[in-house]
Amino acid sequence: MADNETHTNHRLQQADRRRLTLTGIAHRCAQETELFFRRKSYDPQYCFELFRRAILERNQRAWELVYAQYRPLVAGWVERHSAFSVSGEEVQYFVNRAFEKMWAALTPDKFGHFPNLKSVLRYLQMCVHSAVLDHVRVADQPVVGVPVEGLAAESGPNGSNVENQALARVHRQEFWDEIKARLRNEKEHQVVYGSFVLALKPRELFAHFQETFRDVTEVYRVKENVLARLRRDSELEKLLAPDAVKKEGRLV
Amino acid sequence: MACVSPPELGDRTLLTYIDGEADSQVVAHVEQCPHCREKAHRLAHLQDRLTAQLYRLMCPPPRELGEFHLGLLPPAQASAVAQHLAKCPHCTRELAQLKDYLNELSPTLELGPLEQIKERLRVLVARLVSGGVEGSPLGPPSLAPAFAGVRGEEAEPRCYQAEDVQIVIGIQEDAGQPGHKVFLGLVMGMEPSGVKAHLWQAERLVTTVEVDRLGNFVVPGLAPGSYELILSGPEVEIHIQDLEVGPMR
Repeated sequence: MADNETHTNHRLQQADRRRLTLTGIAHRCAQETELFFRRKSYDPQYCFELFRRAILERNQRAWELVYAQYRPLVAGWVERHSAFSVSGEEVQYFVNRAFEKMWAALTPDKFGHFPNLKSVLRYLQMCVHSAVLDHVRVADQPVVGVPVEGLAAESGPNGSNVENQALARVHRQEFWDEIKARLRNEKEHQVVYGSFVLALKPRELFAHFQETFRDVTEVYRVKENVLARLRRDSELEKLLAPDAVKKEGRLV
Repeated sequence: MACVSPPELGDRTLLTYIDGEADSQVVAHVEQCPHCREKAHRLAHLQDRLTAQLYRLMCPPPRELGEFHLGLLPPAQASAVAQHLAKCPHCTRELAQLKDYLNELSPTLELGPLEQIKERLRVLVARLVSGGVEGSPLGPPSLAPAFAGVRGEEAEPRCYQAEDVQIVIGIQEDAGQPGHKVFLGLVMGMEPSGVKAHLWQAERLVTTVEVDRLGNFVVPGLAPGSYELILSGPEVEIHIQDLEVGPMR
């Protein structure tokens, strides 16, 4: 078939799909997905149209139909994630988080990056991984009993959590700026960054920054000096206090 | 309180103890000396508080790492993530996990080499031919006389057309369920074998019935409302949109 004819047919098919109601699209999507799972010839364009209406047109009902159609598939992806079995969470928890991420992230202007159904579903798979990893990052805190501020899920079931996370991140960034202002050279910066931002032990830190340090002993020496200086800093001690007052979004 | 076995341990030695890197002598000293043990505890607590504030502060959230991997980030943001990955073993590990995960799931999005898309199903939207008799190039449907005079029916059956296919729908009172209606349908111009009639309301499937070998189908027990009827065959599918069913008169 000539390219022009192919292009024309594609536009006609696209126009036909646009004429279908949401019901019609949902019906065809369900039928075609059934064919796909039975390893038969299937047409992905109807399911892609359902996503298009949900994301590009911000059609809430279309999004609900996307969820209903793909929930079982996404649940299967969750169960296949290596970190799921030790997460302590139900499958449905991560299914819901994954869809929330996709709905929040895929704005109409971004939808142009997705030429077909496969690319959209691949993004949804990435959202599953992202949802599981949000959970893993929180559980993976290196310090027992000292909650890591702002490390909770990027998006959770509670909308206000997002705002709290943003504020916590601002506070932590300010604290990091205060720390950096008290460091004297690149070695101290790497030791503090490696020890407390990456939570690496000195041996791991040395392996990561071998070009900077002679040996592990030097890492310990630099760390000892920095901690002694920070401990003598009364301003910093106030910032580290558990009841450090936060006013107008800034540490005081 | 003083060290029970001077000289007391220095901070550097206590750091190795906290990290589990100290030799047995140091471990024994700390276990026996409350003063040095308290020093170690304070030092560990200071480190804990620093970590609580700073842990993975610069790390992009997992979704951003995912969008980086999929090539969806704007150039400046992608560059910043790439620079971060060069310094962060945690994000590097997570990115590798994502790649492995997507590779493992990749077959779930793929067709096999033989199951490529062949003939696409023809999907048609039927139009209402008002009255179902006049104006139809196929002439009056043969079922129309059968509907005439039946108590509880609408004034006349509805006739829909999509290319060469004609669908006639009569709506009657459902004697078995007061307040509800029955669809009596007839499909012509389409091979009825394997055809099913799906009735939808508000994007929810109400029921599915088979079309018999003569092209007839019956859908009982319908409450008044707006429906969409979809006739699905092996090669063609016909959508009848906005099928209104009024209340009993």
